[in-house]
Amino acid sequence: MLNYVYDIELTKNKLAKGERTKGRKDDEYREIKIETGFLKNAAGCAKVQLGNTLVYAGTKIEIGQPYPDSPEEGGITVGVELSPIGSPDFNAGPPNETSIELGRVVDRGIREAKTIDFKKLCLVPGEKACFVYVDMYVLNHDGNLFDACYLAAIAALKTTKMPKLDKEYNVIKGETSGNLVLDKLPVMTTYSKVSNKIILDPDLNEDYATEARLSITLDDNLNICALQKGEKGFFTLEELKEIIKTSKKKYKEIRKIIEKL
Amino acid sequence: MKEIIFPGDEIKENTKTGFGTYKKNGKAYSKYLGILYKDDGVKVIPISGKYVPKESDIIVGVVQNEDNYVYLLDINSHKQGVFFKRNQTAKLYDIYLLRVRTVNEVKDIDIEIISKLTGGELVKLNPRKVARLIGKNKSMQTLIETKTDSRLVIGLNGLVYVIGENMEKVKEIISFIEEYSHEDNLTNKVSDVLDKMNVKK
Amino acid sequence: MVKKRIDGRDLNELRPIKIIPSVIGRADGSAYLEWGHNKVIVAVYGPRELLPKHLSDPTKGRVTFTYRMAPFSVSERKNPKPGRRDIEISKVVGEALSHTVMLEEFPGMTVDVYAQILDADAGTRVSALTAAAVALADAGIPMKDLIASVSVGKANGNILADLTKSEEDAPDAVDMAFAMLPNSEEVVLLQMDGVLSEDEYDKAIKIAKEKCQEIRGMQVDALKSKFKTLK
Repeated sequence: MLNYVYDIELTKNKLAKGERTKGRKDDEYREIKIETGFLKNAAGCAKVQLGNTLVYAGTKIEIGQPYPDSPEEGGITVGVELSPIGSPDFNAGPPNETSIELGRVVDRGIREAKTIDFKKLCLVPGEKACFVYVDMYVLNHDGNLFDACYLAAIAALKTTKMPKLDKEYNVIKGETSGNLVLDKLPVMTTYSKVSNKIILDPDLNEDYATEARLSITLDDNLNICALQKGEKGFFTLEELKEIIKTSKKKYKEIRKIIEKL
Repeated sequence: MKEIIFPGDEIKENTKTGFGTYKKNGKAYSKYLGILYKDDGVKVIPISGKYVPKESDIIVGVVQNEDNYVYLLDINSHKQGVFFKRNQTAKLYDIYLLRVRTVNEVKDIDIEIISKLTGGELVKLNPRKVARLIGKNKSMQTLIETKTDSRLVIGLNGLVYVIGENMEKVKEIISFIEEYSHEDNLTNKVSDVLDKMNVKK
Repeated sequence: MVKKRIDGRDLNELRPIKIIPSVIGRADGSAYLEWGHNKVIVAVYGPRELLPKHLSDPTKGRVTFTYRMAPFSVSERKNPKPGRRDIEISKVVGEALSHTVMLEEFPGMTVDVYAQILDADAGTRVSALTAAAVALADAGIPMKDLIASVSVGKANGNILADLTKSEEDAPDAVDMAFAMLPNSEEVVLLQMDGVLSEDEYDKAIKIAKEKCQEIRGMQVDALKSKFKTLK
């Protein structure tokens, strides 16, 4: 397989001429493949292939004490690991700023859209509630880790089976009781600015050539519920409006894929 | 004659043993997953792996990094190639045609620049398959160049610089050769594939 | 009377194993392996430069193995930070690989092997080691042989191959992780807990050796799939 990093100059030149690999359009996603329900121990799981980018997500439900400032709510924790399996540039060790940003952006998209009603996760106010942990592993980096991780998280959550609990709200091993309910299905799309072009779903070369990046999450009403700009470049106000317009166009397409799971 | 062989498989031929084999208690074994070639002794060519530099090899390299004194190049090997800034100025991602001057025991190499390569695209393939891409008396290389109207600058390290208009088709055919390099009559099969691609001469 | 186990297997029977090489495009070699409910992905990077230089040995290379389990791979969620068990497994499996990989062929360099457990059901380290051998072959790393690994032991009075989690929980359970180079029968991984008489030990080792030959056959079949043929 090609180690694409060397084609950055070429990518910039081609994009300036309006060309992407294999004739892909500026607002076109690579092939998206999602599998769910293949792990025994996870409450929910997903394997996402976005082009050649490969991300695995798994969920676990734990019973714990609600936070003091939200005594009648459960919660969700999202983490991403850039496994050394996924790229010669990823190192083993504690999460670095890139994996932390990825986790927090995916979390925000899901949280702000009110995807999960945390009050429904409460078991005993002030004492016990369900906490959902989503852990993701990037096992092959071929660009656009944001959307790949987002899809993996939402797919794993949507197919998560809640554990069966006894009278004291302890988990009964090996038994489940219904699915985790998602009230909303938000959609996140990520764009790169390269050579003054805005492109959706950057591949590895385009990722390395990215001057500025924007991830936008829309909720069921096409309201913007999360935004994240990354990298050291800038966006003009017009470019931002253009991105919002494109994200509304892409919403239905991606939502359909998630709905089918 | 070719056959697939695995690390630790015994090579039963009672003959001279070459690359990719090791001896133990008088018996010969394969070191690699690869193809066993029986032709004036036996050798095993691994199916994958990085380029092992040899003196006077012509290779292609890409500037990957620099520090105060040198440029570091990716040459598809275990270590990077190096040339001094005082002798030549270069930019990140510049591509060069190079000659390997010397190699030491820990595979540090000394390279010299032949020329800078521009106007084309870089394709990487398994260095073990470069010989197939060139073909006997350059037969495969010429076939591809003629049928796709392009020029291939082939580095023995598996980095190939392609100049021409039919880039996607050339990349496809190089990929094809990499996947089916162990087949017999490869040149004829490649010719068929190229014809099917409807490439104009 | 034929003795059968809870999952219907014979005493010597392995759980179903599936191996797919070359699954990680960015890596130099890789493999995906399923063993019963165990699921692991292994990637190999190298030989590559070992920095800082003073850590490298100019006479031979080194191979490292990093074993990690996903928090969702086990019944009770596991902290993603490596624990002492993860570090011990990384060490002994790395040592097993050090004997089979021909380190003299890449002096001063390193081959790094990473295993990520996605689903665990007893036997993750032998699954990871079996997959690692396939990934190393996929990467073109020179080796003496393909290491095959299996767990054998005792549960409920029987000497068994490939214990499941529930068998490991039996009161008299003995669990032995074993790996060898099948052609020379050199043993490179051996860990045991529990109590065995020497007779029982001999029986267990005999089964382990047989199963390793069987597993090597599966590794070979999986790697054969890399050589596509034209119709």
